[in-house]
Amino acid sequence: MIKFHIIRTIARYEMRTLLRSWFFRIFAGLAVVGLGIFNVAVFVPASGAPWLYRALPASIPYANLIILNLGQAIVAVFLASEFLKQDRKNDTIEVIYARSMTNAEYILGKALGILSVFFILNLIILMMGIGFSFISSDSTQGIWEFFFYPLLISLPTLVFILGLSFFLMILLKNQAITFILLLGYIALTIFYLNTKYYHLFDYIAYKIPMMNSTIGGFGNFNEVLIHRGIYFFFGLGLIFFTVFKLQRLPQSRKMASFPIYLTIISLCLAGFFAEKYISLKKGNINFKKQMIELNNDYVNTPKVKVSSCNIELEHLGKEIAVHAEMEICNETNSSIDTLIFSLNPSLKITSAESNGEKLQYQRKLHLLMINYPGGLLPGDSTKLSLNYHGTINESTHFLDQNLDEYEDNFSLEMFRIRKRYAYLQDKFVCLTSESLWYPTSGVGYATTKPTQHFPDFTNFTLKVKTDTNLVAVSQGSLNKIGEGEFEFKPKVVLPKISLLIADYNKYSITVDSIEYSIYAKNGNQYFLDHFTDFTDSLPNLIRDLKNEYETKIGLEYPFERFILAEIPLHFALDKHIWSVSSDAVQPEIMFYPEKGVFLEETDFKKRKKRSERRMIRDNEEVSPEELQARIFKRFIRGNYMANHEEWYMFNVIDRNTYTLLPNYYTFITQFNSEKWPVLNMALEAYLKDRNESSASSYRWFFTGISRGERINLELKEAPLNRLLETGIEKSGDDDKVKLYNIIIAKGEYLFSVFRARYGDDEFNKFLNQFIEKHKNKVFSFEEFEKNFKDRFNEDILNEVDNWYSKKELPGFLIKDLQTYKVMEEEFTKYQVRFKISNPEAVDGLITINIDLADPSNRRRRGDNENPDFTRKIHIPAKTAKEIGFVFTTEPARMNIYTHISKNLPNNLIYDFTSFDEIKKVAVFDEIKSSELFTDLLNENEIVVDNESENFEFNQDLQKSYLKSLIGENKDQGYKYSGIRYWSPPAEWKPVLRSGFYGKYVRSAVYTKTGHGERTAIWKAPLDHDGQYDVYCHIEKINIRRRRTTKKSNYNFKVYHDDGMEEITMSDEELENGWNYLGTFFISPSTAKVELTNKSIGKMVFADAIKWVENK
Amino acid sequence: MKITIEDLSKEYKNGKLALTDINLEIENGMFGLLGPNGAGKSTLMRILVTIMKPTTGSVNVNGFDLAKNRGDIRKMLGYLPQDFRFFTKLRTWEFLDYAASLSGLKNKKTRLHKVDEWLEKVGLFDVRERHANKLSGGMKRRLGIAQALIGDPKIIVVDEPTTGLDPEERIRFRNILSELSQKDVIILLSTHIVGDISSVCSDLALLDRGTLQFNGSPEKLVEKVRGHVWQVNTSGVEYDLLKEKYAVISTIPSEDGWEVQLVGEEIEAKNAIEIEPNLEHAYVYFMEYLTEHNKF
Repeated sequence: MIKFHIIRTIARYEMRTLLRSWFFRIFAGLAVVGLGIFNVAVFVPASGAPWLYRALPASIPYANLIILNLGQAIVAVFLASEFLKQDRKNDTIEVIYARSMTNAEYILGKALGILSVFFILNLIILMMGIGFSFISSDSTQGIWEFFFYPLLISLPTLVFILGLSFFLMILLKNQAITFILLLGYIALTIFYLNTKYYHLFDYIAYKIPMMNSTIGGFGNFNEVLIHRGIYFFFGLGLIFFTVFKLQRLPQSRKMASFPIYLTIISLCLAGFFAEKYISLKKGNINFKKQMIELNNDYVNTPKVKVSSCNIELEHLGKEIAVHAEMEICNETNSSIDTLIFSLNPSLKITSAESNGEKLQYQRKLHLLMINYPGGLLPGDSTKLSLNYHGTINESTHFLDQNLDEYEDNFSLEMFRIRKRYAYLQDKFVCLTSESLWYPTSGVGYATTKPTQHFPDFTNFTLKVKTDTNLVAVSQGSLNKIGEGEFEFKPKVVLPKISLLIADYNKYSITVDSIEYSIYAKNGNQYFLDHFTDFTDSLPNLIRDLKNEYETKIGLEYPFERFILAEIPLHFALDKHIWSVSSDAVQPEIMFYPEKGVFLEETDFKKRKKRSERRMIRDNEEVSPEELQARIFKRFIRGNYMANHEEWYMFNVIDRNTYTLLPNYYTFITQFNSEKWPVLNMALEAYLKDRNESSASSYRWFFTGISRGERINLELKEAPLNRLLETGIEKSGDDDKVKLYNIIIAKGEYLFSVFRARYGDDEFNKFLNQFIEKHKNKVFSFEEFEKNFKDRFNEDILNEVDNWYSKKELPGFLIKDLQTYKVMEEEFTKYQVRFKISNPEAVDGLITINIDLADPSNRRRRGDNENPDFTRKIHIPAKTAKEIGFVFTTEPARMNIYTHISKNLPNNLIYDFTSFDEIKKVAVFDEIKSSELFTDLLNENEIVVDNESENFEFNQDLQKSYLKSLIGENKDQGYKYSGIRYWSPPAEWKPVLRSGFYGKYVRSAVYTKTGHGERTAIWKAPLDHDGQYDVYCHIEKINIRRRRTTKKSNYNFKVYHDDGMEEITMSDEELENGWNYLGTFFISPSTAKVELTNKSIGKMVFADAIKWVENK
Repeated sequence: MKITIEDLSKEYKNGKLALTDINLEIENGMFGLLGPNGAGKSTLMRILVTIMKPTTGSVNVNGFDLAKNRGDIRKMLGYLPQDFRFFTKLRTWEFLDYAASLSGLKNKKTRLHKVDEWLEKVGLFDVRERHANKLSGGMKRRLGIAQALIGDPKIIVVDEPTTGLDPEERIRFRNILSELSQKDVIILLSTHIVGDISSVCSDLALLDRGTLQFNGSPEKLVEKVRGHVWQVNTSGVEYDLLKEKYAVISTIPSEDGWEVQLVGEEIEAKNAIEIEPNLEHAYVYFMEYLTEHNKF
């Protein structure tokens, strides 16, 4: 029998020993001091730490434990291997070994001692967190979160790493090798393995989602427990193995093999948990795939329309019981025998009736198939009532994602958060239409019709019965029937409704007969303290903001309510491929993450302090009322009305996540095209940003490959319909382009071309009127097309079809750019003019942005990032235009954004260093047709660009074996990358830049300089020999390093009939653009120029060579 | 108390035979294990304290089989190894407390009392708060003795206990053991210093190169060398010859040269006087003379 007294004794003295070891003391000291500083830093609003740290009680303990765990995982390796090493070295150990105790008692005692020491450290770190949390007035106070984290994070990690260290020490008998192996293993898991296989290898739990919500608790406690169980039992197994292999004779022969049985049992348990974990994760995906398969089978089956749906829902803790009365009608041309509905697979149907008659039904996963005797004839309608109850299976959500790559958790700062899609808990309920908590007609996402998402516009009513302390939130006017009983009646038909039930407090105000409310969870209404002074001016403020937004989008808010309702931060904000916004945007209701943790400007305290500091700096006097109004406006604008310039701290959200637009379009009408279902989202995307300038804030300085360029690259490969079928295959990239991005870009493009073609006002007015006319109902493509033709007298059918199914893109060539001064009525003005041609078969669109010279040479951030001058110009297929603008102030830069086109980069940048002297010509301030040009070269010119087949380079790869192994998987991204200024590659790599030469693709290849081991070769396809001027195209890109700039020179070898001439061009000699290298007699066989990577600079670029024949 | 060792052999992995067919019976009282370095004393002791497994043979301790009932045997043991120097970072009293606790003393008060008592006994009370690895060599051995004895063991195994002790400490140590040997305990003491055994051991065994050379009382051992110990007054060349031929026990300078005590089978020197043998003579006779002259 195990004697606990012995284990305790050994543990006690192991603890004493460790606590006295300087190694541990220094680690503990550093941990306490370091984390103490970190805690102070995140708790002081002035530190700039995200609001997330202070807002939630789980943040600090979670952050502390995650950081500590990284350290202790390493230190524990040392301490664990140390004791076995010491044991072997010390003869004193023999006096211990000769004592009457079992090997298990000894090893368990040792392990317990080490664990206890770390437990003390964890406790100190936790107490620190608790202290800060309780001192802070911002944090919602919590208790139990504090104790879960050490148990979930530290304990399994330590048991595992102790076990592994013991095991390796016993096996290898060498502390140094054990230490190196384990450090390698730790590094491997932290930097590589932890993201693989659903974070299975993440023994430190760095990426295991454990963030706790004040509303919904842990994201998925079971999953975490199972994952941590793997490492706990694996560690325990290795500890038992150590007992078995300990270099001490066992206490009795009978029990000698007992530890090996325990090892096997523990390892089996670990294996069982690992299998369970993987099957749980894979199970979700497989279940989703099965649902999609089923949807594919039934997507073409005719479905009924649900015209009204009266739902009576009882919230019974973790279940709901629902009675739904529906009115359905058959709007198709054929009789419908089987009524197909989607309903959450975990909801069990108890009865289905129609006009008092029981109906036979069948369930297949999420589908409910009801046999309607005799069939529902075209044009007929009937009543249908369903009773069902049960829980909610969250797998019904986001079937439209790339399931093999889909991540069910995300990071915020150092926190990992499990995505949640629906909640059905005792104290909290969150159900959206994606949860299928009420029956919807037909199937959901099907790969055969990916963007077909046309929910019925239904007349909903909802009665909710829940706990008397809870408050329900849904669409429509609210009638409180009794304690815990609510009735919601939307005034108009809606495509979907949602339901929230929580311990909410409601704060509301009515402005111009719209009720604006905030539903905040009790205890989370921190914002109240920050907006005490502007109550009187709030109505005006809201009115102004509403007007501001509606002026921008050109539409009017159609509902009588606007609700902000608080939900856990776990709520998934992924985007569907049928809507611009996330699921947080519901009709009349916007969900917001608890305490606004990842919204913009929700740290009102910090914002106030910053504003006050700025006011002092600028000598500005602002009343508290005005200041609060400013903060409020900033919050609303940043989150709900964000323009292109808005910058988000977390990449979980973007300016579309919380866009209000669906309330102005998607929830009131529907572009229901059978052939091109994607048009609904395309129009939504256009409406959202039709009055935005389309260039991003990076437009001048961006050097990598932008999202827009990636979209162009994808669309060059395949048309939209193909991409929708196959998905985007490129991977291994952080800023991955998703179908969602492509649909938005294509949507904006299609309608922007229309607008540019028919005129801003004319086209937008047409759209607004059309939407108004189809309010609260769907419209077909045919209706749209007819109206379009009536207004613009043009048939768009072919154009839309090409847009959808052809991969042709417009392409733009620019030439004859001139900048000079002109006189107009005694004033000197600045003329910019150029010719632009679109020789391709598809209409194109460009946006020209011009920045005027800023005398202060400083661009302000935040206030006004829009360019000084912007113009969108339609360039029809196979046409060219000459464009001229005249300015009173000298323009500094011009940027031509080419939208969806063959052009790469899609931002062509022109820096105007100086304007030519006054030309005595008339000002040219117009856009007029010009002669089409398809090339930029003159007759006697031959250019070989790096994209040409006559260009080649030798790589002379100097990659290490390891690098090449790691690099193997990385090369699945796009061809072009950004320029790595600080560490140029040791091979030729293609990069894009506006200054490079190229017809549509302005690219070059670049490499790190060296001794000439890498060369680039241009061979000219000359027809005949002759005297040629040779030019190289150079874009000077230099880097400053330690205040000195090492400017690259270029070593060319020009081959000609008399041999070869080496030409070195220094940076001073070179200019941006074409540079003359010399004139040579060259015949077709000798026409070659070489560039080596020998240079005094850091990198060289190989772009283009031009041969110009001297006639 | 009785330990019976039968046909005990130990062969190390490298093929070295550390013990060969050892048969011994050890009863209450102090038992001395004499032998030069490498004779197999420590191996035998490590087998007895269950740290090492014998290759063949058996050991029975008071009815318990050493191979099967290690737990019961360990309960009776108190062990001081030969090289007792390295300590983890524990204070003197803590080390004793640790040992006491492991020997089964659960009650904290009793245990601490016992710890103080033993600290007093071995003269370490004044340094009880000092870290054990900061103690002098002698103090460390005393601490070692205390930890071996603190749990009132029935079998006390002490391996070369007096190494590094000054004469005073050796006497104190001997006294402690003598006192203990009066009780119902077995004290197994290994040494290569004859003086440690001569006065206190009732029985002894002589080991050399893994084999048992003698087992019996010290008197019996001494009796065996009667007639083989001489004293010779010598000088010059003869002295060198004697040194080569016999095992010299002591050399004292005299007027004519040296007064030399030596052991051997027979003496060929002139004026050699046979003298009364003691344990040291016996030890040297067995260990050095017979071994060197291959007369075993």
